[in-house]
Amino acid sequence: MKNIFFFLLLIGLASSALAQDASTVKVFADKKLSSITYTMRHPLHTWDGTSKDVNSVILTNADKLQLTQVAVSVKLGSFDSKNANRDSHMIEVAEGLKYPIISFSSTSIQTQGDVLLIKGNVSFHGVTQPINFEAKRKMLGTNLEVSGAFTLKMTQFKIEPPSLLGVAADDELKLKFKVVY
Amino acid sequence: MKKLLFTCSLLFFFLATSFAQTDSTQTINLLQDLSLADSSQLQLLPNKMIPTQRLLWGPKGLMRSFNRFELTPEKRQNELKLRRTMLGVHQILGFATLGGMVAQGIIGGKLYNGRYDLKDTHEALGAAVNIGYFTTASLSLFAPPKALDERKGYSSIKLHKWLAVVHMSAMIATNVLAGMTEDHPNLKKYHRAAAYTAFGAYAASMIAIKF
Repeated sequence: MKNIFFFLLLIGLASSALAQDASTVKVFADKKLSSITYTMRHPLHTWDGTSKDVNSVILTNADKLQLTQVAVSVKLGSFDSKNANRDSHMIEVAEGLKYPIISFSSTSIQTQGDVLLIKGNVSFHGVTQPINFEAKRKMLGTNLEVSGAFTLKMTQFKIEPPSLLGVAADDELKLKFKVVY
Repeated sequence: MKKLLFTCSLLFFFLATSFAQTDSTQTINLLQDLSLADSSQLQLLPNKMIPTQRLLWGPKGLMRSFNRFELTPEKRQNELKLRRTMLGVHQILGFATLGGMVAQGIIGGKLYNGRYDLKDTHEALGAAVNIGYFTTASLSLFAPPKALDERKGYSSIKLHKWLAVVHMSAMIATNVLAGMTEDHPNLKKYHRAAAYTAFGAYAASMIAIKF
């Protein structure tokens, strides 16, 4: 009986240590101040496409200094490269009507000063791939700005790079983000 | 006493473990929060289409009466592939037509300067260029519409389209004037000017795509 009692007590203590802090808050991104930009290269030209329709939410403590989780979702159709044909072509190659959302969800966040080491999974074109990258964190008054960059390869997500005049664009998709919470 | 201690520890255990959500559960919940926060509908067709596209591919277009082209995300996705194929052929045929225009410019120039033996060649080449040109144009005009509305501001594709209005008008004028030059030889210079305008705007519209 004593053993069972101590076992339950131990599990209880361990769980409570892992338990979400009662002061943890969920904060949604401010869309007006947030953006994600991709850069693609083709032998004829290089272009950017920006989405200002970034949906993101973080779990953080009340003063926003400690991030524990982050999730981001953005519609493929919201990327604007100032050329509707090109944007439509991206939707076509990435099957954006079937898989309209690109999402990221963190699995771990380590804080080293103002640098965040983020690990997580990106889901794009119905394929989920692990990814890790660094981000910078900056307090702007009461707002928290998180910015950074990472690279995805389209073929990793079973997407054939778009082509122009029979020549395919580079496989690499460079992404820069700035999200304000 | 033992019973009380056991009950308390059991209660503590269940309360603590229920609060200890795993990371993956939290993240899934966060993604669900995001999908709930975003209630916007998926846009299948652009709001604005050129009349030829609206006639075939609009919400009540002729093609919508076929099962294969019903307005669903999966079928629209296939339509975008068809659009890509048509625009791919549009590009290849466009280059071939440009080659024909260059040849026609050389032969037409010689004919204008008195080489009347080239008249039949000029006419045959003119027919070939017309077939190439209007097939190229049709592939664009009747392709399924893009997935999105036109973006604000200047873009290379908008310049491509504006130049298309110029070269199509000039091509029609070139053909009309060609038919009139038999009876009105003084119109030859206008025919030539229209042809050069068509060629210039056509070549420029192709270069515009690069930027």
